[in-house]
Amino acid sequence: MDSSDFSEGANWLGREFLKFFYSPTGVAGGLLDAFRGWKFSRNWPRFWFHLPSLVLLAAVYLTFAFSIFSREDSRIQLFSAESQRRCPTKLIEDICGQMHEESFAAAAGLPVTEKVDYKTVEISDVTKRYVELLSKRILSIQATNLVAHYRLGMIYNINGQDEKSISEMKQLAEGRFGDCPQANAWMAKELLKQKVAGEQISNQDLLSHLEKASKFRDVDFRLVSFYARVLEESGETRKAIAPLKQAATLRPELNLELARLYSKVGYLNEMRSAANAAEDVFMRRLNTPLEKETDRLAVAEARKITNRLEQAAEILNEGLLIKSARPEIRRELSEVLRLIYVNSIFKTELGEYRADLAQLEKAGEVDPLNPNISGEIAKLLSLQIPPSKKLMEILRQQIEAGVTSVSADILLAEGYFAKGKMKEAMKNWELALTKDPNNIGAMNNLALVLAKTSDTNVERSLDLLNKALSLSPGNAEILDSLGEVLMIAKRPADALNKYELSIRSAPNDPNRIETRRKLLRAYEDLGMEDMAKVLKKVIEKMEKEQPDEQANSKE
Amino acid sequence: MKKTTPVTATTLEIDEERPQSFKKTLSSEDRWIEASCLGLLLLAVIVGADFWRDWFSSLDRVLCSIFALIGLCVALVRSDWNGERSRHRLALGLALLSGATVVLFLSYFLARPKMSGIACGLILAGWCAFRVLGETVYQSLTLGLVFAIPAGIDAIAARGAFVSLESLAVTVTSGLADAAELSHVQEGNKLIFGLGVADQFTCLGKWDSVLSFFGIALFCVLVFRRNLVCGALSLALSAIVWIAVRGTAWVALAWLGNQNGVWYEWSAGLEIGLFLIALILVSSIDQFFAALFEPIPFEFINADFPLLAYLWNWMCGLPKLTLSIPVRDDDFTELQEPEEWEAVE
Repeated sequence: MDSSDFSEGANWLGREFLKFFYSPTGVAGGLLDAFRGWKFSRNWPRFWFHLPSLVLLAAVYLTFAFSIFSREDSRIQLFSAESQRRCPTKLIEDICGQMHEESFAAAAGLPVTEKVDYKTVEISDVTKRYVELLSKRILSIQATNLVAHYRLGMIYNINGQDEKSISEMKQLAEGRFGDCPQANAWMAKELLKQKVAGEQISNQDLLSHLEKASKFRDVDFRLVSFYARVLEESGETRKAIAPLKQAATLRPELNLELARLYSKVGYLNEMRSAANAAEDVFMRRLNTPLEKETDRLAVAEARKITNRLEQAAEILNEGLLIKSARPEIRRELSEVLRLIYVNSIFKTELGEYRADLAQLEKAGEVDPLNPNISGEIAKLLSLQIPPSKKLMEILRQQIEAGVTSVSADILLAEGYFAKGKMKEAMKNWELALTKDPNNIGAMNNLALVLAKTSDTNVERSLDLLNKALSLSPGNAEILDSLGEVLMIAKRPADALNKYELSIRSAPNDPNRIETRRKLLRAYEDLGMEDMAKVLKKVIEKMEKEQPDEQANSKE
Repeated sequence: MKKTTPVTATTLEIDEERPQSFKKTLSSEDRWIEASCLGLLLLAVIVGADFWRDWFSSLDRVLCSIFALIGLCVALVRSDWNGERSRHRLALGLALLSGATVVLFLSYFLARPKMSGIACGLILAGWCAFRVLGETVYQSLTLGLVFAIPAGIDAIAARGAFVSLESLAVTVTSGLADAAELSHVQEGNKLIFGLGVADQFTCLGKWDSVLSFFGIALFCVLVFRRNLVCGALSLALSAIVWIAVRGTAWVALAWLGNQNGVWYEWSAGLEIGLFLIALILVSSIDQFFAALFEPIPFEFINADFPLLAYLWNWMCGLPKLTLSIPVRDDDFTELQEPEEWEAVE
């Protein structure tokens, strides 16, 4: 190309371009002519022939465009409605409840009055998948949708995807998407399930979940009553009343539990009205087709709380008359009769004890294997009151059957020990320990007796004492016993250490004077004269102060 | 004002004096050129053996290559072969061949077989520059570079373009499923329906069907000798049609499944059916746009303001075809006709 050609071309381009600005009419005319030419030179048959293909393609993309331009909130509503239609939340909740039922009943130690028979409900795999995918879809549009998160968490639970369900529910329970007490209830049940499976759980977490869950009106009432029990056990009985009262408005049966709490706190009026309300509810069902096995027990319980023991015995007796083979009612009746006996105990002016032993005998007759009766008999024995032949027979039966209560075993052991029957005493302590392996008193006494009877038992007694010490660290009594056993084992240096620890843990305890005397003997054995002298002075000083203190306490 | 060549009605006159390239005898210089082209091509194929083996491992890629080759053959047959020599062509051919050699060396020493695919394209572009003498420079380049397309596609795929395309297809399908009121959720590049999972969107692996669709578009471009704009449009259309066809197929399957309570799996038969539908759709839509993108005849270009019309014609102007194909001839002088009519009168 020549350079002059190029400059001419550039000039032409510049001139044509400038026309945009100075000749609008020319531009319009040019465009109009070009459009005419364009129309003229088109191959129109070809255009119309191929147009349907374009229309088809356009239809697909227009459909897509309409779908993406629909409003987000309306889509959420649409998906939520469809999800609910396929499987209502209540149904999913029921299935989750079923899955937690066993572990919850085991962990919460549900009283018989609170057992609920869930109808076994199931949903198909396809429904589960639809609920899951619709929840996920809603979350893809609105990541904080509470209901979708809740339903998704439950579906994961039903599918056995525990980790996923826990993470969903944890977020909900923390209130990340707003308050969701249902999730707190779920988390509480899940924690209880983990506890039953033997995993370590945080009690603080459990309590906070229970607290939040109990604020929800429609929550499983048993969970609220469990929460109240936990609070009660941890000494916060007053705090337990509020949630239970709220739950009782929905579930009048809970008035029974409420009455018990009121009686514990000492609100007698409230206690009476709650107990009456509970009695009404259960009484109304008695002798009707609606009656449950537990209703009669509940009525008796309500009467027991309000100290109407005779009336309680009456309603239970009536139950036994209708059908005698009812072990639960039998045991309860036996208990009521035992309470009547306990109430009948009084001390005469001469300092003697009197009681209506006939009631205890009757209690034994109704249920000879009620372990509390053996406890009462053991108390009688320890008070040097000879029980009747019938009662001794009951005690013998219970010992044979191995159903005596722990306290009875311990009392019996102590009785035998006082009489110098070491073998019998040891047998009873062993029995108490098989029933309650963590009973520190039984462990302590058994260890001492074992060590004193034979040197070969020293190892076992040291084991027992070390276990007791691990259960109750720094317990002065156990440390004292440990010192004593170590002295028997001829390890005075170790014994010295234990005695010192015992004294240090309770320096002003009058019982520790005896420990100091033992320590003194140990010092003397080891030839630590100086220490022995100092300790001797301390013991003398304490012995002088001791009578004064005792006198003061008497005053 | 510069005078431009008018584009007017067609003519089918054959120039008897002009020698046809097929009859042309090769000089010794030509033989050297052809031999070196062939040698370099063989070398490129050997160096890039790994790449080609990988490329032909998939049915869709083979299909794409076959379509491109057929299109290329048709394009070469229909192109206007000019036997006259020109130094310009030789220079361009040599430049392309030396460039190809450099790329080939790099491919070998950097151990990148994909680059030898590009070298292959450059060598063939060089050969076209030597041999297809009646063509313009950019046309010979285009013809040769068709062979570099596999390497280009592979490079694009490696940079995640196909994955993005796939995710776009999944999004469109999701929208269509919404319109059809089919409950589903999108998880990555998968659509989960209640009865089953729609996961055969993939462009790579067994079904990289976007490439067979691309092959159809390439075929149209080469056979119908599309210009730059129309060619680019056709190639883009292939991806658009691919998304629409696949999305519609999935939604139809899911809808049928919902109606009958069973899940229909994606099958090879469906894949073949969709390919045939795409064959019709892509070529038809290509024809539709070709009907729109035609140049404006000179007599309609307003001399007062010709710039936009010229621009349009530059964009849409067709290359010259062989004489068997109707073409607007530059030498035709329609303006003389009225004089002839006057003479008749």
